Amino acid sequence: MSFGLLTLGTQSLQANQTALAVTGQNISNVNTEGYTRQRPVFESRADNGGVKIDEIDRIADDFLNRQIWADSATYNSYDVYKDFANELDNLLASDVTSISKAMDDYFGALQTAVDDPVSLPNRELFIAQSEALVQRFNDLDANIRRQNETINGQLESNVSSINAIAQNIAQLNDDIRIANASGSIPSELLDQRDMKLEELSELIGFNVIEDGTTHEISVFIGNGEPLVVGQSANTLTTIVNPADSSQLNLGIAIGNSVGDITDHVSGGHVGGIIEYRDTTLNETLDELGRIALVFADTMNEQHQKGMDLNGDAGGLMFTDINNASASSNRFSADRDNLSSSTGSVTINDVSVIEATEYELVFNSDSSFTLIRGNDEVRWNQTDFNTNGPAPTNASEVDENGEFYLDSTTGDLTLRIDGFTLQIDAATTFSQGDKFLITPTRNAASEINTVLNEASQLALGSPLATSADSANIGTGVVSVTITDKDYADQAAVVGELTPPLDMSFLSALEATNAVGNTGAASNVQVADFSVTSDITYPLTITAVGGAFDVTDSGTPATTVTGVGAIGDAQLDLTASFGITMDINAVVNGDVFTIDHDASGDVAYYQLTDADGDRIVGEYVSSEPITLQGFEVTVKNSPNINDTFTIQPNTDGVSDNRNALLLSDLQFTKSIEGASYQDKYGQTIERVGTEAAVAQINAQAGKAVLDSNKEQRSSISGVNLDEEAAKLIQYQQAYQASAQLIQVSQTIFDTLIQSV
Amino acid sequence: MRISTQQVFLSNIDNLNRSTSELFKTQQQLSTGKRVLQPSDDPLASAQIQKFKKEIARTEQFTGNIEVAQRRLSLEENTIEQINNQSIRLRELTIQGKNGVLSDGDRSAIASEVGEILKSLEGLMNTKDVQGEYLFSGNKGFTQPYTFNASNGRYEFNGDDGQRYLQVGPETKVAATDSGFEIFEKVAIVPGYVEADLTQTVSVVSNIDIDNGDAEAFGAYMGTNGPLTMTVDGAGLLTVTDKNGQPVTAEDPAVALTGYDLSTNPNAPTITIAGVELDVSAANAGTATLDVFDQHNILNTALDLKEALETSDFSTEEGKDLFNSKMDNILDNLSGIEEENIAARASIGGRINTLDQQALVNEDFKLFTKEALSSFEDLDYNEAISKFALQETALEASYASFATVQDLSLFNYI
Repeated sequence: MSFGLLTLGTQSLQANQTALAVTGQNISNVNTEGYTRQRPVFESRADNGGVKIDEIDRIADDFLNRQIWADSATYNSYDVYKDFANELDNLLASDVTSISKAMDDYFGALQTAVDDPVSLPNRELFIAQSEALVQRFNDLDANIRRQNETINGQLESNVSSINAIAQNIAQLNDDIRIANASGSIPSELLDQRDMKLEELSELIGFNVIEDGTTHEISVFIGNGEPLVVGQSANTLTTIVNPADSSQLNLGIAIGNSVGDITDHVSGGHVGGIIEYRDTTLNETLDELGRIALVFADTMNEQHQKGMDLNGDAGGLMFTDINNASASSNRFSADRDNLSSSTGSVTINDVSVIEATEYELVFNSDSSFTLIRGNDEVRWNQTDFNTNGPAPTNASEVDENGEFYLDSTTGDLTLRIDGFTLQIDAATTFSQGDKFLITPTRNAASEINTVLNEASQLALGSPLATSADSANIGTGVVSVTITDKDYADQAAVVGELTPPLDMSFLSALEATNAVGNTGAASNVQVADFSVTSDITYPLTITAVGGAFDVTDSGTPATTVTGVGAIGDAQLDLTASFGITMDINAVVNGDVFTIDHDASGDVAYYQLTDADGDRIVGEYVSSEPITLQGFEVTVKNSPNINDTFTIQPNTDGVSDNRNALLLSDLQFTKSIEGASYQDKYGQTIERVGTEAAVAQINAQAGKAVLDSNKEQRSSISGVNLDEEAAKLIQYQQAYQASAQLIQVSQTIFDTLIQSV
Repeated sequence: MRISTQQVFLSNIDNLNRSTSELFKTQQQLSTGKRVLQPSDDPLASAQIQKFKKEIARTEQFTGNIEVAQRRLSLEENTIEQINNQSIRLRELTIQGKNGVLSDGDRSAIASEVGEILKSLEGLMNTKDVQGEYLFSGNKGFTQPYTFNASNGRYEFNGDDGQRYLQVGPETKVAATDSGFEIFEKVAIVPGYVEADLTQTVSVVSNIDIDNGDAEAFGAYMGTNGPLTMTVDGAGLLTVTDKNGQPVTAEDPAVALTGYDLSTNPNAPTITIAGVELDVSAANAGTATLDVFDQHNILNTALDLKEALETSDFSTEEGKDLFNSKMDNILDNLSGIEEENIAARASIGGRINTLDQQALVNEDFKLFTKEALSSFEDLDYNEAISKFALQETALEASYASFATVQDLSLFNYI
């Protein structure tokens, strides 16, 4: 009996001692991160057999852990995204780096040049501000690209951390498998593995599958790419983006092959920075580039329509957007293409350029698909050349949506969205060939000033108008250059070449000769281009049932036998550009057609020194389009008023082109927005992305914290509780000791009584 | 709920962190006075802020342009006013010179004063601004607008009619310069002013009655067709041709004037051409040129005056008549010049007014924009200070409660 009591007491002592040890373990690990509290499970033995510690429970909730890993991946992804987006947005908006501020200064300096176009200091100031603006574009672009380098660096360090963690997990898997085989798994091993997984979740999102028997886990990232399988870990690597050598991609080495998983991974730091790079960073570079591109091109275009202080035509202010290096930088062939190739992208129309990238993929040597990055629009080869006949050679590709492909020589010319892509493959195109087209991405770094001589700023306009001093009407003539090559176009023989004289004509009327039987009336101009070559008056004689017509020119334009005297209308459109009503005409009737004496302006007349002449209907304020320039007459000129449109010789004080240049600040040249409005929209967009990421990060953090609290509440050590337990087990231990003492007393009593 | 000991500490640290960073942010707002510290604080507002700043920069530029335009126009106005004073003096001298009782010496004294005025006018009309740009040469700012051409003895205008516009408001452009072409060359046609310039001989046409005719129509007709050459041969036949040598058709009698027998003229001696009656006598065989009197700028008018005073022949009645007719022309011309001058000053004054108005509008606009900018960008101090106080209290409470909580432990009691 007492023997049983002794055994029972000893067992109880041992059990409570173990319990005290567990409590001690809990107390000592109160500050150990990732420690999961343990609890001894007592089990009574049958037939008053006493107590034993059946097992030491690990108080953990696996589902909660998994939830925390997922939350942590989400939170960290948003958090890093937010940091980058905030930095970018501050760059865009800060007065020190903002393009908008530099543009204010640029256009401000332009205004001082408008005020005083002959002032060289004002011109110098404007040139200095244009250099500052260009510098600002280059700096901002470089700063944004620096983020790209930061991202590359972070990817590399994250990848090495992930690899280290993956190795640790694989090792722990092995330890756990062995421990499991020998009976029980130490709680601390599981704690450590969970800790490692939590660390991993900060870096990248993953899925975990646990083997029910060995308790090994497998970790999968991206689209199920295995990072850890049992006791072996695969290695993540960074690889240079085959399409864009400035960017690092994420690869996973499985066996001997490396797969690119950049587009598959999400969550954690890695997911966050890749997401940021793919959306915000590249989009912003593209948008900034588009602003630079449109700005440089529209400014160049207008400047070239002007005239400088020396009276010469304006040159380029900024580098030509289609210079050779810029054109080839917009194109890159994938490194893995079978055949090497050269290519270029020429911008044809900046007003329809989109700020995005395009991917061209060959499905076979003669068919391709083009994918636009911003809206994922896909064009197959059959979607091109749908309007009109397909081009039969490269030079016929002159409309958006046209292409010409020579699959035997491997040449492709394709035009879309305002640019023309030309690719020349060394042999032929092959299935799987990929090309990346970035029409605007590098523009902000490539923009540069060309003009640096103050007197070469073309602030004046090369054509001027003047009114005759004897004019008595209220007419005012102005001239606008519509094409920078106007001088060449206007110099073509047969075209009006300034200086031009402008005068006005009254309407044409028919005069019936005395003794006519019939009458002509209602003379209308049917074709001004024909009637421009006719010298009035025109004499029309009815002969032989038809009409002979002759004008007063030297030599005279004469046509015989037109029309029929019985008709209601005489149509002279072909030779004289006019028609008239005729009535009851008989042979021998004579009519004279000339400008009437009313003195009402009906037509304008423009003549140049070579005798070229244009006549047209006069409409107040409606531009008359000539070769490369437009002439507009406002108000009411008198019939005798004359004007001259002549080269603006010595026009140093003219600021008309400067005004047109400064108007560009508010011209809606980029998708219905001005340069600065577009820039503002970019700030707003990046700001919104940053704000959304920030809110998501906060929300993610709240969820993560709450789940961590939940876990802490389940698995964490509470010292008060442990203090109570300590007393509880201590008391039980003391009581067990009493059992042994009682057993001894009983035994002594028995011995003494014997 | 069960709370682990670590949780007590960690969540406290977390709370303290959050409170501190919020407090710091408010403090930053207070010290900068700005509500939006970075664009993501309020992306919409930051885009607006950018826009408002651009508007303000632009409006300030307009204000600068207005100042430039006002300075330039005031200089012009001043110059033109002085020119007007000189033209008034010229009118006085012309009236004085026309007086028949003057001696040659008196006329020569007047002529020399006209000469001085001429020099001063030449200087005024060739005024340069501080940049060395001529005020009145249009777009040809480096070309002297008026130079004396020794070969024909006239002052010639070398500029053009270009005007420079400055942007002074979002939709408002104001001409900041005026060309001499507009204000000196385009001397207005005064009704009744167009006269035949009878420079060759008065024998053919003895009287021109333009007052009954339509001066403007005649001026327009002569502009297109003039000068007209009128010849009366010994047989009393009149031929009138226009500048192209084409015969001219008279209005009354309605005949082509090619060898027209004046003795058959029903209205003898009057022939009406383009609304103007001319007295043509068959007795005076010879040739005359009929033209409108050129409208002269003030320099050439002064030259004419000086020349008329110095060189006219007062010994004959014909000479005296010619002198009087010249002086009348000069007076008419001066009227035209004065009208042009008044019109120019009215236009400049009007523009200066527009600029003043625009300056006020711009100032108002700037004020509104700054207010709007402030409402987006600037901090509401009352709100921020009370927020700061609240955050401070919360942080202090966290400190105090943390101190108490961390003191609680069962171990203290066993």
